[in-house]
Amino acid sequence: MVKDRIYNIFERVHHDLETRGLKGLAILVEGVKDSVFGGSDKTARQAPYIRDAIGMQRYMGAPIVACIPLALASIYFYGWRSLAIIVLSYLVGMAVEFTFCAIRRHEITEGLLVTCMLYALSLPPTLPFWMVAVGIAFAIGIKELFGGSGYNIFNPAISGRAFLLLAFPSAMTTRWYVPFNPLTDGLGGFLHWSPAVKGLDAIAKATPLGAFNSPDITNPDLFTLLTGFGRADVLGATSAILVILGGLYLLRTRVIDWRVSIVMIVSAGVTSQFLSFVNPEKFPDGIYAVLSGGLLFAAFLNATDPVTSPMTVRGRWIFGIMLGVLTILGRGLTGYAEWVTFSILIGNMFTPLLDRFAIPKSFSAPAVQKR
Amino acid sequence: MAVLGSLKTFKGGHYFGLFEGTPRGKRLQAAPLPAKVIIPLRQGFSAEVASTVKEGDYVRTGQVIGRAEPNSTKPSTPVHASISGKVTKIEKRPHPLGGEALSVIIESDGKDEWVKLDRPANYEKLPPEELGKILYEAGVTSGGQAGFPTVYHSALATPEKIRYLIINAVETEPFCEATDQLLYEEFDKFVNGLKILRQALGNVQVHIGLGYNKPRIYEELIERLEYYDWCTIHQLRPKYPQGDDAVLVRTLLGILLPQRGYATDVGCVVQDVQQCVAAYEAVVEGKPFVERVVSVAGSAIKEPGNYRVRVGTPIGNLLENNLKSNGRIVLGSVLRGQAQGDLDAPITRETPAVIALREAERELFPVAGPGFDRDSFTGAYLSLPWVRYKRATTSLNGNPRPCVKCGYCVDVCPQNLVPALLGEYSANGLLSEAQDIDLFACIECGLCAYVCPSKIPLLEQIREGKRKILQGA
Repeated sequence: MVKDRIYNIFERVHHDLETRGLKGLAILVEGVKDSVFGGSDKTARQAPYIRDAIGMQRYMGAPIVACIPLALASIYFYGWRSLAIIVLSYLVGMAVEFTFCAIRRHEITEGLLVTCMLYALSLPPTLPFWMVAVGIAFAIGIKELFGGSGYNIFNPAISGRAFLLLAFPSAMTTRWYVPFNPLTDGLGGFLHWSPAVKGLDAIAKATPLGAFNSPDITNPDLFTLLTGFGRADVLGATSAILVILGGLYLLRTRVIDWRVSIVMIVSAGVTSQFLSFVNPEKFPDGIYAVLSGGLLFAAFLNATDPVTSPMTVRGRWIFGIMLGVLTILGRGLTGYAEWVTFSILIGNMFTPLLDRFAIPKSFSAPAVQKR
Repeated sequence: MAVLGSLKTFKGGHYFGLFEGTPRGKRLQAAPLPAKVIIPLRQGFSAEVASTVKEGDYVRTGQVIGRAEPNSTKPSTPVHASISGKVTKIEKRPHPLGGEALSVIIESDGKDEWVKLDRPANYEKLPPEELGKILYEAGVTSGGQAGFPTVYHSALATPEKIRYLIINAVETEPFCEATDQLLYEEFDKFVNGLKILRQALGNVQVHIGLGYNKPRIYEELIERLEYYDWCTIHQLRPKYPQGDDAVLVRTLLGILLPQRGYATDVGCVVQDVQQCVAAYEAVVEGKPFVERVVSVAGSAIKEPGNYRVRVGTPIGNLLENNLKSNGRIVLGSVLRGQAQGDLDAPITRETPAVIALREAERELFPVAGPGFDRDSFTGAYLSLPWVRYKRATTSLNGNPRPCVKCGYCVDVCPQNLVPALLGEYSANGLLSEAQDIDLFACIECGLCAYVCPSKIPLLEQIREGKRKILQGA
């Protein structure tokens, strides 16, 4: 059988590397073998003897599936340069992760693939390539310093983005392209490297979030916000409809929980709506607040990162509400327009606390005295 | 009689798909009489009893071969020979539920001569004590989920403490179809048996938990029990582990079981269909409990079926010529049971099924498939309605990974625990922390380990933690 032959080749190479003392390389070979066979070759040694079909591959594959339409749309909106950003962050991310895994001798985990994708999709389309590389190297490096997937405290994709926001604030917040618009540009970005070919027309003054904060720029209308036609934003969050579709897919597959994502979106909308009555200069109405910036994208894809969000139902409610409220307060009251990044990092810090203390009460009475 | 219209269920749990090799709807057949039986003197939950026969003795079917010493206070029931023949050996053997037990090995003479119990003339007039004695003598008292005694002669609880008799007629365990089949085929015996059990317990209230996938039985039960005010029928969603004592008592009565306690601690006796039928056969037909229904099922079985099997039959007899390949053989439950390497492991009074699973098969890029035949708690697989059977192998379906705190184990836990933390604490020796978050409320249903995408052996870790605490205490 072909499968068995491939399996044996992996086994032999792995064995040879180990006997020659090349443990790091052996771990990489093991990782490739595991990803090819997806754990179908591993056997349950203890009860339960049958196991759910879900494995970490499928689990981490779901967010990537949800991101593929976003990635395709970003190519359309911003040209092939956006694909280059995605590919570059994968290459650098994998290089850093593999290096760490080889040195520290632990297995390569699937979370890496999600991190690189989410990271790339949360960048502005104008960002220089070297900054892309620095950001993802930081993101994966920090995750690995904490011990790798499962042990990291901060969401890796978001920590990379936060690093760039603080290190290169102007590159991250002031340079935007007007995306290709299907209503006028035909095949748009599929034919171009970047919207820069349009010359001066390609430079956008601000994202919808920036537009709200500057009085001299008109706010985009609801249609623009939803479809992303003519909305300047980060790669993945341009079209709100696609983000929502991806989110619904993830909710359907149970990979994300509505208690984080939907609760965060609703609490942000409600908070902003309420505060807009108090100070309409600083706070937009709820719909605008939800659709502008990366809030939808982050709520469905970043905040729901399993490792850095709480496990229990109660913890997730608290987490979701906290993130929504913090995002709106930060946007209105601080110098940074896009606060969803920081609110997720702050939420991440509370996650271990929530995991330990928001424990549900078990369905049992206290132990009885045994006769 | 009270009939509750609304469906009852509980938080968490999982609806299993129909796995390949499930004998659903297969009629009960009598398994051929075994040439030899191995009868452990510890049946299920009860304490080990002393042997009353010697090597070389001739015994008849239904003859008592072991009972408690007169001064013993531990709950136990008499053990009976299940075939007639010669006692060839009495020795320590591994017990299928773990540990070792003194076992009586009987070689059949092929005649199957019975010793029957004395049948009372009019059992409906008997006082509870008399009825309890018959049931005790017949060995009906050990069976059910953990082999827990039926009647106070052999139970931890005293009769005045029992307030409810709960009948578990919802089978949610994958592959276990025999008790459902028994309910369909021996409905009369079931109804009369549950009346007998109630009478033996001193006319307590009866609550029947019935799966709502059995509307015909529901109609018939209503017809038969309509005029009794002591009976309540609850329709339950067939979600695993609804049949577990703790979950069943909570769903039906809203009573929480104490940690490290049993249903009897809150005044409930839980019995399943097999015990009701056995009670009827003991009292009306004079047959001791030496035969039970067993599903022979699993993906490595050629012809899955439901059988009436004599207690003590080696599982090898049931699997003979019926195995497709070298399967993993599990007794009772694929979720919580123990794999058996020994084909001489016997069927006991509490074995509902013998399951043989195909071993894991290598697949190239299994993650890329749509998964039409996969069972999953998540919605990440496209299960199609016309793909009737779900794949069942011993494959982990994934590589072991560190916990990513996805929370599936929390969602699925019927006891509202946080299994990931329990497992982590137990594995790292943080036993008092584990007890603080109610380690002993765990009913070991195994669902947390089933759904875990990181393939962490949570059930094993939790059991290990409990074992360490009990040894230390």
